[in-house]
Amino acid sequence: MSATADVPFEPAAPGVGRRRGVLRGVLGTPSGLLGAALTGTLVVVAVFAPALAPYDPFAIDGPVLHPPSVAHPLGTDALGRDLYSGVLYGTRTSLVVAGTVGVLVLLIGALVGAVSGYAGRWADDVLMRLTEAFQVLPRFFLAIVVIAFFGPGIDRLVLVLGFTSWPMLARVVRAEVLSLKQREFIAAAKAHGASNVRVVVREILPNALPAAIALLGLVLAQVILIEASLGFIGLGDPNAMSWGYLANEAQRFLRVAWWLPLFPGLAILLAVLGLNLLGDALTDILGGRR
Amino acid sequence: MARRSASARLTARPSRLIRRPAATAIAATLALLASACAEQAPSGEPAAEPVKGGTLVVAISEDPELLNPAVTTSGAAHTASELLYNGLVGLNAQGEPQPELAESWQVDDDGARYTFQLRDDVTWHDGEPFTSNDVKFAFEEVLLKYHSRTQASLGEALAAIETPDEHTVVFTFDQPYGSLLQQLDVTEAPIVAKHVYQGGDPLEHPANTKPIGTGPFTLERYQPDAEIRFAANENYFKEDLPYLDTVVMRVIPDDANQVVALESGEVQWLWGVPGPDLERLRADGRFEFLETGVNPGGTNCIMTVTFNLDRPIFTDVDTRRAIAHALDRQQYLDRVQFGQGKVAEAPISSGISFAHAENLDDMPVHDPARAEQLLDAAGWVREGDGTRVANGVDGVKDGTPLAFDFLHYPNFADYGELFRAQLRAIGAEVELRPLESTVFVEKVFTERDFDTNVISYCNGTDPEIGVKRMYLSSNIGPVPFSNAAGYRNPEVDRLFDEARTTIGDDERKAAYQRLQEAIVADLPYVWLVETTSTRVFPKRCGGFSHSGHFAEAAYCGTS
Repeated sequence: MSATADVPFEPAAPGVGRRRGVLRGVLGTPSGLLGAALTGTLVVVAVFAPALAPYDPFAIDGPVLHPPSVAHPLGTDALGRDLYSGVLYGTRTSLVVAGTVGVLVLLIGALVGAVSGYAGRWADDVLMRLTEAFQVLPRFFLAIVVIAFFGPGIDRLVLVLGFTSWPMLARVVRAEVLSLKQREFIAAAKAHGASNVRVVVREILPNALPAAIALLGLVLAQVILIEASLGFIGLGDPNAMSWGYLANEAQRFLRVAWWLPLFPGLAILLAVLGLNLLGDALTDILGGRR
Repeated sequence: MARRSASARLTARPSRLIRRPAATAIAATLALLASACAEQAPSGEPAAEPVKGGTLVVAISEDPELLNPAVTTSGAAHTASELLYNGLVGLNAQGEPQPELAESWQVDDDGARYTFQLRDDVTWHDGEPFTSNDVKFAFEEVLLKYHSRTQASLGEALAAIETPDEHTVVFTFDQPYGSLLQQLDVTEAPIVAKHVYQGGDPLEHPANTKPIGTGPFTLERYQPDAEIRFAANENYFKEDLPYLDTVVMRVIPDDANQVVALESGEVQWLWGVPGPDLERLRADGRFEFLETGVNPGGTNCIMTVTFNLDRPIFTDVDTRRAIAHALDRQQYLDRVQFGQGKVAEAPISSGISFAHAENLDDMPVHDPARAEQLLDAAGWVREGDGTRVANGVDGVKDGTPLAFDFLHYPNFADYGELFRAQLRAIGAEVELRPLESTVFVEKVFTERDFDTNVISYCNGTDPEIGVKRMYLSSNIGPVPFSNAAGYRNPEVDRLFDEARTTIGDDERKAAYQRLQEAIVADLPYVWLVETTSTRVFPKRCGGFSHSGHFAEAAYCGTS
């Protein structure tokens, strides 16, 4: 008994059966179901925004500051633009930003975490100090500085947030890699003559990533919030309709047009809630909580 | 109230005599208020009578940092300090000069020589008498060195300031200078004391926060970033004024909070009301409004779209004209300004009545069909509903889309939104680039890296002050808010010279009319709306003037 105590049960490489299990697990809990439903709706709306929106979100031909009505279900702003169309198109911008940042974060985080955890020694030290340095960067402030300097734009926003949001993910991946690389199947792979790259890419990462993906949901929720906050303080890209941009517009009308702050705010709330619930559900199932 | 008549001295020399009847700023203000009341209170309530005493609390947006209006043109500093000082003349609501420190004046040599007779009963707040030496000192050592507008306008034209006796000042110019009297009020040329500022650096002088002026109020206490308290000047030279005992200026940075403070009765005067709240305050019934184009930071401002004439796509005047025809300027007034102002109808503001042109035939009006026609003819072809592309436009490669950027301050974002939407309708694609003021100035005036932009160009009270800078070919360069378009037309340069040296109201008006016709034919800019601010105060108060000495004759009764 004591001889086998430090050799934990060995999971096999993830397969189809396990993925189906994850899906059932997420949809099986109320919060997971809600999270998945909200996130799914978001994606659908973002993809089909041009078909769903009744107007061009920037067109100015509606009545001015009109409360919600049949023609304009969420009302209009001071320039006569349709808020409903604005919110639908805003979903696109938010998801495009969150999605691209997500890809960047996953790439950088996985790379840094895997190299750091697998190589160990000085590479680990250097990469982890680097990670810590990035972790303490004031992300929001940095985004403000970059935008104030180069002007608003989605490209630079994605770069700033992408290059500053990966440390948490890198740490989680590293921790997973550290525990995985002690396991027997890794030793078995090595014994079969697999190269280090093959071991990491084929054996370790597929097992380390689920925890990282669970965390990604939470990171993306933050990205959406930051994008909206930047828009709210007037640093959004005025050439792309977004929720933050709408919320910023609403500021001056808080006391005269309740619909202007309410609906973009609700959209942000639902998106962030959805991603958080989904992320939590995934974390519970994949056991990635840190 | 009106107690003084401007005494005019006749001389043997041929001269033009300017005589002002006894119309004080108060009378003018009351007239203005009465008309405002007539608009606001159809029931014909009697206006409150002036009462002596009381306190007026005023909301200001930012700390002034210094209380010397002679060394800066900062709106914040002028808002907070003009009550402490006087100019040689005042300007009434129509922009006409009124006696102030000078009780009369005389213009000789066709406008190249101005002789001012000063009042002999004026004392500084510390009891020293005010004399012509103060005027000479204030201009030569302070205003012409540190007040950027006065420096730019008077600095190059003025030949000498002489003081034949203690109460006479003579301004001499090399050439006739028609607009001096518009540039001598407390905003453009406040007079500071020689005995206070002599020998020190006016920018760093301690008196900048412990000011000694001649104005209707004296400084009681200045707490930076919090509040400024003023007490009535008991020895003010205008009899019975001021009515108020105390004026308090409270720093309230946020517009919305200022409105809340007004509604709760904490403050009794706002310099401006944000558009969305205006309707609500009007419906409230407790407040009076005073709409004006005169502001401490700039007067007679026109929201102006600039074309960068260095860009090949804007070389053709027909392209510029097409864009101007696409703009529905009424929408800017209604949807962005919430009606505060009027659609611009000439390059020079209607607030400068002696120069403003009427009935300019070439001034473009909203006509999208004409815009599309002009673009077609200019070689910008449209396929379907999309963006037009060049096909035979001079200096532009075929296939170039009609797309350009639009630089603006963040708080002018709505102008950009309308501009973009209105131009999309004629097949032009606009990219908005909101930039903070320092970056904006750098991009537009130093790097000249922009296609179009919007600027609030304040004309001032005379075209010499704020109009000329936009058009003179010599004003293209890094100086902020100079000739942003990069407009060069020797004829226009010449017409400005001609207008400046033309004396006589009708002749001058004709000269400015020719000038504006020439500018409108070229369209280096599109003039959108003349903006105004709306001052608001409770009905129990009254007697306000639009700017400068706004509270000189103000009073607040008990409600």
